[in-house]
Amino acid sequence: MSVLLSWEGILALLLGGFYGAVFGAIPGLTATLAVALFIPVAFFLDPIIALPAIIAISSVAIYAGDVGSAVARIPGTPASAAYLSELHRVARKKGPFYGLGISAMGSAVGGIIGTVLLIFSATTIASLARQFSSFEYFWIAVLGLAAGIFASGGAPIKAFVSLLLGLLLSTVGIDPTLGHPRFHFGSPDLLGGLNYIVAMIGLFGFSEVLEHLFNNKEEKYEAPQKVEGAAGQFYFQPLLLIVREKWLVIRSSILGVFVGFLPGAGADIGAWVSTSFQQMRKKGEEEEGEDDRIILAGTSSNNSAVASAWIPALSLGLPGDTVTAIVLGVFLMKGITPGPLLFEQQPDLLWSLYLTFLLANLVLLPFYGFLTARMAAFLIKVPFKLLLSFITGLCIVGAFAINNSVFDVWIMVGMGVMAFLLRRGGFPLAQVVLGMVLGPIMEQNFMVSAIKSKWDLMSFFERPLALGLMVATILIIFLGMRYRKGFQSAKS
Amino acid sequence: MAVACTEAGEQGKAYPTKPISFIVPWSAGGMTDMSSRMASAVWQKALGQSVNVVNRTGGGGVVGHLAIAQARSDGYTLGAVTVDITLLHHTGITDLTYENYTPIALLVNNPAAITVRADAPWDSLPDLLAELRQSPGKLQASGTAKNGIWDLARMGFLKAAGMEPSAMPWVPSQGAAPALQELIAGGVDVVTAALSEVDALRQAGQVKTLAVMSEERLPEFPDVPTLKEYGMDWSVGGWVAICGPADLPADVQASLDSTIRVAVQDSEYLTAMKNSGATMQFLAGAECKAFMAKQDQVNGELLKANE
Repeated sequence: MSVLLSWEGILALLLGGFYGAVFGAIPGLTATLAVALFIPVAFFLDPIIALPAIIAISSVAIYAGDVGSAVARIPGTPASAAYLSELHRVARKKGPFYGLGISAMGSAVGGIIGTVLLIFSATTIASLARQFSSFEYFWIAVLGLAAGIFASGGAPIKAFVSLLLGLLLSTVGIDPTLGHPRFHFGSPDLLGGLNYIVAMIGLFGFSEVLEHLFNNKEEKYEAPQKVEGAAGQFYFQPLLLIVREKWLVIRSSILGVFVGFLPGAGADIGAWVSTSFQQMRKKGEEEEGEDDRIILAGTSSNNSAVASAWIPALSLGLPGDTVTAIVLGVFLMKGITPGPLLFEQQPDLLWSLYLTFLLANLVLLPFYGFLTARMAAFLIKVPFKLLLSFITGLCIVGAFAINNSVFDVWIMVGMGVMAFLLRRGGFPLAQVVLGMVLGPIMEQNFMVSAIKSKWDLMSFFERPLALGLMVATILIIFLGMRYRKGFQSAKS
Repeated sequence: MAVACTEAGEQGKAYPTKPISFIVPWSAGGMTDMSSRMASAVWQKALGQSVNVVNRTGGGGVVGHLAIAQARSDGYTLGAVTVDITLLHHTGITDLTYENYTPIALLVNNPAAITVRADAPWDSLPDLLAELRQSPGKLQASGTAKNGIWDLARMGFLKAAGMEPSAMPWVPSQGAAPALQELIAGGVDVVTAALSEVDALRQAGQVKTLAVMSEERLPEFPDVPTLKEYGMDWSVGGWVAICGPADLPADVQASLDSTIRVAVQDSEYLTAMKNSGATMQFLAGAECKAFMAKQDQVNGELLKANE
C-alpha cells in the first residue's frame, strides 16, 4: 500500500484522471477508447502504476460524459443520456456549477458507496454474478427497456415508440447469434450494424445544430455566471442536497451495484432504472428541485456501477466489459491470478485497488469536476451561434473516431436529421439510444437461451433469479402505469 | 536504376516515410487486439516509423478484413488477418478470402481446448467421450458464434472421435468470455475456446481443461494432454497474421519482412506475449501464405460437411 501512495502512483492517478476527463467530455471519445490507447503503455508498466491510471480514467470519464449534456445537450455516454434534459435544464436555470456539481458530487458519493460494497461483499456479489446465465441477462435487458419507457418526463407512449425505433435500428447488420445478414442492402458497412455512440452523436449533437439553424433563437442562461461563489455552488449546495436526499442516493447506488456487473451495459441500465424510479416518484411536473433529484439518482448509480463491473473480473476472472478485459490482461501479464485466490494471496494489491477507487472518487472527481465545470461555464458564455461550427466539427470527428469510418459520419448526419423530425413530434431521443444499446443484448440472450433449452420457453421462468428479475420488470411496468394514471387524472 | 535495385537495404529504409495504420478487425482488449498492439509497439522501433493500431469492428470481422483488403497497396495500411478469413467465405457472408491479402507474418496460433466446470463429473477426456457416446445430444458446447473458430474446433473434435456433429450441439455466444460465464452458471457443459482464454478461470479453480487441440503439449501448460495422446488426429487454433492488401510492392514486402523478424525477437515482446498466455508461431512470407491456404482448405471441408 505504501507503493500506491508513492509519487508515481499519485502521478498516475492525476494524469489518468485528466486524460479521462478529456476523453469523457468529447462525444465519441469513450472511456473504453481511452483505456485501449493506454494498453501498449500499461503492459510495460508496473501494475501498481498501471491500475490506478486505468481506474482514474474510467471513473472520471463516466462523470465527464455529463459535461456535454450541461453545455450543449450532447451526452458523452449512453449512461448520461438517461437524465440529459434534466441536467441541461438545471445547468441553464441554476448555472453549470450547480448542475455539474450535483453530477460530480453525486458520482463521487455513488462511487464511494459502490466501492464500500465492493470491499465488504465482493465475494457475495460474485457468487450472485456466477449464477447469471443468458436467462438472467435477458431479463435484465428487458428490465432496462421497461424502465426506459417511464424514465422520460413526457408521454410514456412516445417514449415507447422511440424505444421501438432504437430496437429496430439495432437489428441492422449480421444477426449476433446465427450470422444471418439483415438490412444491409449490399453495403459491407451496414453489415457491421449501426454503432450506438455514432447514433448518439447524431441524435443529440447534430440535431441540436439543425435545431438552432432552423429556429435561430438564443437560449438564455438565467443564472449569474460569476466565478465567485462558484465553489459554493459546485461543492456546498450539491452536498447539502445529497445529505437531504440520502436515501435516494443510497438506493440508486445499491441499484447501480446490482445491475453493474451486466457485461457491456451495466452502468447504462443502472442509470436508466434509477432515473425511471425517480420519475415515478415525482408528484407533479412543476415540483421544485425534481430535476435535481433525477440527476442525482442517475449519476450516483452509473458511477457505483463502475466499481461493480470489477467484481466478476476480480473474483471470477471474467471480464465484464472492455475496460476490465484490459485490466485482466494486465493482471495475467504480470503473473497475477484473478479469482478467489486473489483475495487470499494478494491482499496488498486488492487493498491498493480499493484505496485507488476511493481516492479517485474522493479527490479526482471533485478536482477535475470543478475544472471541467469552469470550462463549461466559459463555453456557456460563448454565444451558441459561435459554438455551432465547433459542435459540428466535434460531431464529425467523434463519429469518425469510433470506428475510423467515413460511413459512420453519414450515419451520424442521418441520425441528426431523424432526430430533428422526432423532436417535432415530441418523441424523446434518449430512448432511441437505449433501444440500440439493449436491443442486441436482449436478442442475443433470448436466442442463446432458446437454443440452449431447445425452444422450451418455460425455461425463462424456471430459474429463481430469472423469475425474480421478471417480477421486478412487471413491477416497474405496473408502477409506471399506475403513476401515469394518477398523474393524468390529477391534471384533468 | 540498377544500383538502386541492388541496394535493397537502402530502398527498405526509404519505404516507411510516414506512419503506418494497422487495422484490427476485432475490439480493443481481445486477443487479436492485444497481440497486435504489443507487436506494433516493438515493430515500430525496427521500422523507424510509428505503427498506429485502429480497431474496425463489426460484421463478425468482415468490416475490418474488408478495410485491409481494400486499402491502397502502398504499405501504409496493414492489418491483422485472423483465422476467420478461412471461415467467413465458406458460409457466404463475404467473398473475401486469404487471396485478397499479401501475408507478411503469422504471429500467434492459440490452440483450442476442451474445458468443463471444475465440479463436472468428468476428470479426463475418455470420461467425457463416454458420456457423449452414451447420451448423444445431451451435453452442449459454446465459445463463439455459429460457424466460428471454436465451433469449428468442436466439429473437428467430434469428427475425430467418430461422432456426429449433433452429439454435442453448439450454443452460439458473442465470444469466449460470455461462453465461460454460461459454463460457470451451468448454462452449457463444455467450452472449446483457446487455452489462453480460459487460463484465468483455470488458475482460479473454476474450470478444468481436459485436453488441448495442438500437435504437442504447450510449454506453458505442461499438465494438459493433447488430443493426439488419446489417439485423435485433430488440431486447430485461432491465429493472427499480419497482412497487407494484395500485391504489395516487392521492396515494401522485403522491408516489412526484415523488420518483423527483428521485432519478434525483442525480449520485452517475448515476455509480454508469454505472460499473456498466447502461443506464438512465427511463419513469414510464403510460409505464412501456404499456412493460410492449407487452413482455408481444411476448414472449408469441415464446414461443408457440417452444413
